Amino acid sequence: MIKISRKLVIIILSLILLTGCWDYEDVNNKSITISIGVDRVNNMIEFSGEKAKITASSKKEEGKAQAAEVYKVLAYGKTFEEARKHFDAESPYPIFSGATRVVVFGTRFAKQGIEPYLNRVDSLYDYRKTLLTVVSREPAKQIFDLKVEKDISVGFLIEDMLNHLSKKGEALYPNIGESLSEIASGNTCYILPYIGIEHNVIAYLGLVVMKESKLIGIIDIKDTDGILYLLSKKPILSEAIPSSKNENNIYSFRTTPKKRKIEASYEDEKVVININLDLTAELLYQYYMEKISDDEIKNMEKKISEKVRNSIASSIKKAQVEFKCDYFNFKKHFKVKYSKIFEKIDWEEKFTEAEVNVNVKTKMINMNLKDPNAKKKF
Amino acid sequence: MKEHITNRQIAFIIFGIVVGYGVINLPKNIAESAGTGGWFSILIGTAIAIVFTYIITYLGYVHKNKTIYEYSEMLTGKIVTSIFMIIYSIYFFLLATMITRITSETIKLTILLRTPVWVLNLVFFAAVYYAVTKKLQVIARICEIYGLIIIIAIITICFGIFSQGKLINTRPFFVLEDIQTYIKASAVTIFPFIGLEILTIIPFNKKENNKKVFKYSIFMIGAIGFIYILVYEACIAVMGVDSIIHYKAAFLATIRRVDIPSLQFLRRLDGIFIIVWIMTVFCTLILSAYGSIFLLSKLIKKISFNKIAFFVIIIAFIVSQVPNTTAQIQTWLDYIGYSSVFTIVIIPITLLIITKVKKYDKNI
Repeated sequence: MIKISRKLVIIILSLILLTGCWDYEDVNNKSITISIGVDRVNNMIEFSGEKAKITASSKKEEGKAQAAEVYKVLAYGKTFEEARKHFDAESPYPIFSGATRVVVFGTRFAKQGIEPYLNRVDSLYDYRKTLLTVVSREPAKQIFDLKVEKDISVGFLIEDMLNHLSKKGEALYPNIGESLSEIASGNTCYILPYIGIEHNVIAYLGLVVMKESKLIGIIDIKDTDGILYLLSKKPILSEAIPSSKNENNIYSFRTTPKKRKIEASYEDEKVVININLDLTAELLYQYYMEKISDDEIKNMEKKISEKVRNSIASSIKKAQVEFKCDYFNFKKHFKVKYSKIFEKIDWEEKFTEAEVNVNVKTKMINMNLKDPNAKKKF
Repeated sequence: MKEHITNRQIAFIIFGIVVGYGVINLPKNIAESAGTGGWFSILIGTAIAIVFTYIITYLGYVHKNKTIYEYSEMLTGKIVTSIFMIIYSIYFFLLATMITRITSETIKLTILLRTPVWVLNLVFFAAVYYAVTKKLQVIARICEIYGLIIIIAIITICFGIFSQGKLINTRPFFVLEDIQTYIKASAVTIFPFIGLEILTIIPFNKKENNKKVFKYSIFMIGAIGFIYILVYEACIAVMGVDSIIHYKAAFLATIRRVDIPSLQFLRRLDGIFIIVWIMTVFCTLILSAYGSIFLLSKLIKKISFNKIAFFVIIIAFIVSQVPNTTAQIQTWLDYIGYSSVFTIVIIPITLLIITKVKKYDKNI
């Protein structure tokens, strides 16, 4: 009898405690954040962004909900907490940040330092730590005010745009977690994607250099190849090389690093960085079909190697001279090998004086199933 | 009725009690004391744990069909045994209580932000009470089933994390000049093996538990060491040692920094991890609670096992509410860790020496 009553108690307790969620709220009763903009306006922090407007669908699909469109939000405060308070005060429902796609930092805010906001996202439970961070040329609010036709919303557009570009190796997709790891490792420099409004649409403009989490410089999209060859996970870039016989004829190549080796050494109290890059090149097409001899192939390989080497070398030079900032993270390669020496030296100083040797080898592997050397018999 | 379990179940019992709450903060503690060479410290910790596993298994193997209560009484007499049993009982009791509390605190801080800690404690203790009343054979089966799921899940999660990590974050693998640091850090890596003394309350059967029991138990400790290394390397591959030291729930923090798009709706691994982690904690709780209740029932023979279980769980629930802050819980856990010197080292070695001196192991 005692056993039965005990079982009953356990069953009833389980029913009460484990069935569903007592504080469950329907998705319609949540304010789902899509994107966040953080900027500084008149010494105040400005939170802008988008929230999903969850609407009941048409009569045919009664009961279902869908993210049809977004609505804009705006709040100000002297601190994040104050701004958030105003943010909450405008919201009809509890805010859910777990679906946030992107954080857009305005240039003014980025120049003063984004680290406090990164720490905030890291500590708030519902934010994804893999959240994309970008810096915008225009104020963040202006970015969100733009009418987007290409995607569901500005947040989705920025995320989708950078996602497909980074998959192709044409951009970087740094998330908050990665930036925080960089900061914690004592690496004061890192780079973030830079966006802006071009011809009334949002576009990827290049990269921004962050030193001690403060924006110190901008790298235009045309100068980012050298960085991408070293930092992108799988860079697949295109190189246009003019023919040696006819300058009007341009060979379009798709280049991919097959092997990427970065080594640091310490010689005569000087840091030496050796970069070895083995590229594979695929000839996609020629502007005008011409015969390509073996010598021409070798010549092309040489030209590609030279072009890539120059773009990498100039990117590193820029980091050393203009920004004095190791956003390539050569520091890690050095630290791994010379941990004891690393503790004694001032890396930033050593990096600016470092000797950098870039060695690029290119191998053309195919001509995209074309035969430019076909013999005409008729 | 004697409760006999198979060698495999013994191995999974070791896994069940050893791998638990500690797996979540293991990377932080090791990164703090050994840096990227932490794998070597884990290896040393594993080797030390293997030695003590062997000693405790040997005691059980020599004294067939007996638990520590019986063979200690035979070797040291009633009074000393009573002291030993009280030590073990309090140790297992506090282990169950404080692990429940710290787990509930972690759950509250990470997923159930608005659920009171006492409610989480109550749910844990209710489930533990029910499992404990079913005694050792059922607990062993739970550990066996859960253990397999946990091992597969943890290894899968680790490889998922590795796929998003950077190899350079795990380097340098070994610095010869830092060998002293690695050896010192092994003191930290021994703590995650706490719980293996549960073997003292498992009676070994002549038929079921032949010599292979040594292989099973030692292999399991080795496997746990391997899993710890895997977890550690996966975590630092993503976060880096400099970052991971700031996170008490380092494994969870790492998982939350990983997003694997190719896994589609499972791209975020934290949901799976929380389930698996609670399963590991549950195994630790039922085994340590069982250890405490079992030894108390040996000391207080007049009261039935189930009644003792009921009272112990009620008291555990009350005691679990005593610490006010997580720092206080951590202090309790640190003391429990230090007291394992008695339960894993001093008492088993004392019993082993007496067994050897009195030549009880000659007849096996």
